[in-house]
Amino acid sequence: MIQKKICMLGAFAVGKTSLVARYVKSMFSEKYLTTVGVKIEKKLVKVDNQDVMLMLWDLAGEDEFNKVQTSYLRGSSGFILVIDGTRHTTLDVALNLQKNLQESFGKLPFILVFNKADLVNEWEIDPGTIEMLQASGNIVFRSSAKTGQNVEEVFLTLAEMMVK
Amino acid sequence: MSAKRDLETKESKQIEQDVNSQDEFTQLRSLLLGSEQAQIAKISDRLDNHKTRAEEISHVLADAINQSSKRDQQLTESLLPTVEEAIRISVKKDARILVDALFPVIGPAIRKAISQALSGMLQSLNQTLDQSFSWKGLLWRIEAFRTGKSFAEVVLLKTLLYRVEQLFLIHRESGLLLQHVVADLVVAQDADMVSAMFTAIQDFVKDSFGVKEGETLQTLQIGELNVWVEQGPKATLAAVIRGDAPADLRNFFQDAIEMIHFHYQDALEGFSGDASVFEPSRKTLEDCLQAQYEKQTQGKFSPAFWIFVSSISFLILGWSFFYLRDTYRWKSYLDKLRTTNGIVITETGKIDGKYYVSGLRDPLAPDPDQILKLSKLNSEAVVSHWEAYNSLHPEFIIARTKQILAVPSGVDLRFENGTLHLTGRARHSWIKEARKLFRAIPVHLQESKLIDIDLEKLNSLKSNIEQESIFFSTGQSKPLLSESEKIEKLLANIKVLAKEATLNDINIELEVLGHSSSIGTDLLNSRLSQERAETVVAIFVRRGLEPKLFSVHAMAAKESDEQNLVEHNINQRVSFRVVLADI
Repeated sequence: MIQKKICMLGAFAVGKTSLVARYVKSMFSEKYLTTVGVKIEKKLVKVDNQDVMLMLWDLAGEDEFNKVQTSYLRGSSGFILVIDGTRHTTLDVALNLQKNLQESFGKLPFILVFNKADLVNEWEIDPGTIEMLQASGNIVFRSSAKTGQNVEEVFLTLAEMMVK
Repeated sequence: MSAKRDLETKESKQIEQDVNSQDEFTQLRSLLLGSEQAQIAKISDRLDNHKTRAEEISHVLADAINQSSKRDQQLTESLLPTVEEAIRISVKKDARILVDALFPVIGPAIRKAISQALSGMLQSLNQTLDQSFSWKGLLWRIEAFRTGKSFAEVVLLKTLLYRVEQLFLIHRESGLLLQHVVADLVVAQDADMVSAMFTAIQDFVKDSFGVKEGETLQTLQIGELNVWVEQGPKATLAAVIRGDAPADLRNFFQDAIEMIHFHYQDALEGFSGDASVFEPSRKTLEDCLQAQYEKQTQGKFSPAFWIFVSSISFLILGWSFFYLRDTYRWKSYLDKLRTTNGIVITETGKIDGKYYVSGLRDPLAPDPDQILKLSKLNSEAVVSHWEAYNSLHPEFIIARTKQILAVPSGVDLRFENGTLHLTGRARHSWIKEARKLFRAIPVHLQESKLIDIDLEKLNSLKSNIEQESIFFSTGQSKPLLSESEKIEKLLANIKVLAKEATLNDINIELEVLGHSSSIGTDLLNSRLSQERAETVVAIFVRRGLEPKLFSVHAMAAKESDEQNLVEHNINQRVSFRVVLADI
């Protein structure tokens, strides 16, 4: 079995914790997020018949990279950048974070997750933008922590990206 | 000579031919192998030329060392003696070069070592202070005094009660768990999560408090659980310890993390999530699961401890012995008091650590203090309070009666059916006084069988006197001469009677009764009897008796108690009647 550290990043209130909570049964209290600034969960997945333990570091939401506790990011094998589809600014935050991550930690697998797909009618981010991001080589998912849409797929896809 | 010359000529020609053929061969060889020869010459020149070879090796040396180091330890081991010798010579030649080179490394290393030593010392100090004022601490101080060790040393030795319950080998950068070992019977949480969260907390502390690069969280303490952290360049060893472990256990962990780094340097360097490669490190980690249980120290009590325990036991035993002995004596004392007539116990107990007894005591009863002495109890340990009372026990009634009446030796007292009987013989004076005191005796007294010695004697004298008569001739008032002896005897008896009566405060009256025959007139007979009685009284008075003792009665012929004498007309006499009366 191999282990991989994944960091969940994104602007404040984009649904990072909800996505993780939808994916795993939590062991630690959510107080950790507000106290230590991170809450850690784990999930065992299979990639090509190989067990992969995903250690999910759910970081407290910050809009700016320099406010993120970068020490939490060290040793990550991949990132999930969560965007709130109803708030365009969160996409900017995510892209900015991605840019800084790449500068600090090199090119690591990441996925852009447009969350709150259940509120698609309220989205500020238009499909064209998403398609453009996909076209430029980014892995993009539309998800909903509320309905569970694409939640498992996000983590599984990143696991595959990290292992292969 | 010519033969010799011929031979020489021949040899010379031969040589010339050989040289010619050699040149040809060389030319041929040059034609066939000229380029190869040039290359060989060039290679030979390179091999022979140290300068060239050194230059060429310098190009590949770095790669060669790198590949060799990756392959095995052979190169390192080969170079080790040379490097060590080189360092030795360098230090000998000019130590400053090495000092300057190591300066950036030695400073932090020394600081770290001092920091850890101080941390260990503080831990020892804390343990010492914790134990300073405890009962255990007191015993340990005695042991320190006895063995000549410092108190801190003894405390440190005695507090080695700990158990390393879990060890986490964590990849320092990612926080991923590389290996985890748990002591027997310890319930562990999800090690992966704990490992990651522990790393996050470490990062959090570092980021929050702005510690310098390379400095890390070293100890966490939660209740009796301690988490000791040993950092390596690539991995962290976190040991969860229950209890107070000795400071030198940290050295053990340091050795372990260094050994792991030594053996798994490449694996740590290139760690990509596969922790199976660290499986062999379990043995190293399991060796760190050390424990020291209280049970192990229980059998190692010092002689001082045993002396102390023995002393305490002896004291308890001694105290128990004396306590039980005194309790037994106290109980025996009370039993003795209860069975002693004239003593009634009303209250017993203990006051201010002393035995206490109170009750009633007849003054004639045995002294409780004497009973206490016989019981062998310490009289100072007993407080007694006795109120006086009169016991109605026969023994005390008799004793008290004897005391009050001062009963003489001839008198016996016997208590029967509620009546005190006085029997025997006593002087008249005692009986007379005793009767006055009978009211002081709280029981009914019966003295009918008590004989009055003096009264008995008086009665005997009275009887003797009253039995005698002094006879007269007919018509005469002078006694017959033959009566002289009788008169003398009467006189003696009367004197004794008078004396005894006086001694016993008894009044006596001697009635002298004059008698006569019935012949003649009554008047004459009366006068004659009067004269006869007066004559006898006169004789007695003349012989020294008090006149007041006597009373004269003229009985004539009548009222004679000896009617026989009257009837025979020989009633010419004087008789006596003694009257005794208490004053």
